[in-house]
Amino acid sequence: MKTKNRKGIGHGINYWIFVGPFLLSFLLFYLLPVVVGLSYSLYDWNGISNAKVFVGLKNYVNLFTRDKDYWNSIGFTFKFAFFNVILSNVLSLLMALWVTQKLRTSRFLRMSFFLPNVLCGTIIGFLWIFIFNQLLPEVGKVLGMSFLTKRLLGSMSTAWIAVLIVSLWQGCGYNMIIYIAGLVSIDRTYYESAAIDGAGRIKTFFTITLPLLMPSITITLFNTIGGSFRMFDLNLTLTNGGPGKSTQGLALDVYLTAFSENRMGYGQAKGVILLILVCTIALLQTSFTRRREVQL
Amino acid sequence: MRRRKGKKALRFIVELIGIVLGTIYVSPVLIVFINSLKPMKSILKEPVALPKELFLDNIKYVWEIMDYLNLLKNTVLISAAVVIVSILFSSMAGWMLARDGSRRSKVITVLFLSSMLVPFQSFMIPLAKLVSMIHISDTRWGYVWVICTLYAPMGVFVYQGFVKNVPLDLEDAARIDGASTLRVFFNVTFPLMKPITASLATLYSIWVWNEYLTALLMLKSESKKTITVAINSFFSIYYSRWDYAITSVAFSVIPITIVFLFMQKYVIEGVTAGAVKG
Repeated sequence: MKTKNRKGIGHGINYWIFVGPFLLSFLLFYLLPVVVGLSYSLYDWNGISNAKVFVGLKNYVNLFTRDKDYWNSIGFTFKFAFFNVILSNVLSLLMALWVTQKLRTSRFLRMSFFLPNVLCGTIIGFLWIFIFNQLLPEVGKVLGMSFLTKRLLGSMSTAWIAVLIVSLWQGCGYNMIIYIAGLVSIDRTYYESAAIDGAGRIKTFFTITLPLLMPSITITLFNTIGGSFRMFDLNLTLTNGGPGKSTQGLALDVYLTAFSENRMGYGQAKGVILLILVCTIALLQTSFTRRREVQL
Repeated sequence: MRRRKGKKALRFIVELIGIVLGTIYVSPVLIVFINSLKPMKSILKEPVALPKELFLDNIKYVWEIMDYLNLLKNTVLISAAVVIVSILFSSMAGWMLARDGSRRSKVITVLFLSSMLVPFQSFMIPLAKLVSMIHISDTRWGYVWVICTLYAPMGVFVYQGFVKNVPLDLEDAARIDGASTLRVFFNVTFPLMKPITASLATLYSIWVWNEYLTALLMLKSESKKTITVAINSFFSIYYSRWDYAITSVAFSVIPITIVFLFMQKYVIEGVTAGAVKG
């Protein structure tokens, strides 16, 4: 409340000196394109010529009624998001539990788990092509393990698993950091009284740790759900949507439609759908997990 | 006595598993490193073996073909500019929005925050058109401007959180001494926010080093390319030459790994502070 009457801080010109430069850039490079994007999606346009034909909602209608690839893309993205969100959260919570034990290797492990997160998504895609296509088959041959010689990236039924593995490898460390912050902020006395009551480790985890971690879970869910739908860099280089468009995430689909097929209007319609999808899911998720937090 | 021994042994095993697990987890990075120092035949036949001799031909070749020094210069310059401008944008706006606390500030804050959710692909097409319309496409400063705008909302969020820990009394004292608002901010508040500024600066430099799509859309001419974009086009040409391809990957992975090892503390603090709660 005290901040409300800071006379002279937010007055007139000062306010705009501080907020103005960024606000103007923000309106120009973010809000304007988002709004203009809505109108682009109503045109048939190749992006190069000036021949923009107004088609109304036809792009959207075609998207949902005629475009089988788009449904494939939606299917892949939801499947990927589902497994990515669950596995990433389970794995990163396990990592966080491990590295918050008093071990000499904790620091090393924390660093190892987080390292992939600072690497570039497109570059990681290349790196894992090498691992999937060259390294694993070669190692499999030497060790006589035939399952390693099958190339995950080569088949329509398994390529999405490869995307999932690399995405987990890169993303878990980030969630781990958030879980660690949540774990260390839990008051020790809860555990002490649980120990006095004779609760075992597993019981303590489910009755104390997990409920008190709910705020962290809200954050990590929010991040992983959004991240799954926004996945682009990794998708672009690791599979480029293939084989046979089986791993074409929605974000990559927008890019390929616009800049490979030169269908700007159609691509933008896909972009608008992606925007609506991400925002709706995020709103639903936060209102759901928030309610869980309040109950405690 | 025996129990204590058993516990000690268990501890040892857990530590050992930790080392093995951690090493396996970072092994893809190690694999890039060791294979960039090996000839093609060894890379294909024994991809996990250590190099038998010091073999620098790949590095020399890729360094020259990619004109790595120029790329490094571009990327470092751009990163530095992005870090400085983003920090200015976000610290100034974040501080003012937090201190002002009016309705107008709350609306602006929500607007900034909500943008962090929006997928870049949903407004990338109009953005690409816009930057070429106002002639800032294919300019480094134009790219820096756009990137700063996209990165700053996270900083605004972090600074807003941090400002609450900066005592108002200090600012008030300076104000009573007659300091202008700009002076209050830069002489009193900004220095106090140093820890979080260091974390944000580290995060921003990692992000911009890794940034691909905007650079691809904006920086078209060869001389202005950043490392990530250059490696991407290099890789697609040398796709079947794993010796050169893997070395180009090393040129991105190794520098960023070294930066991370030294700046770990800041990276992790930045991530913790920037974790947006929906």
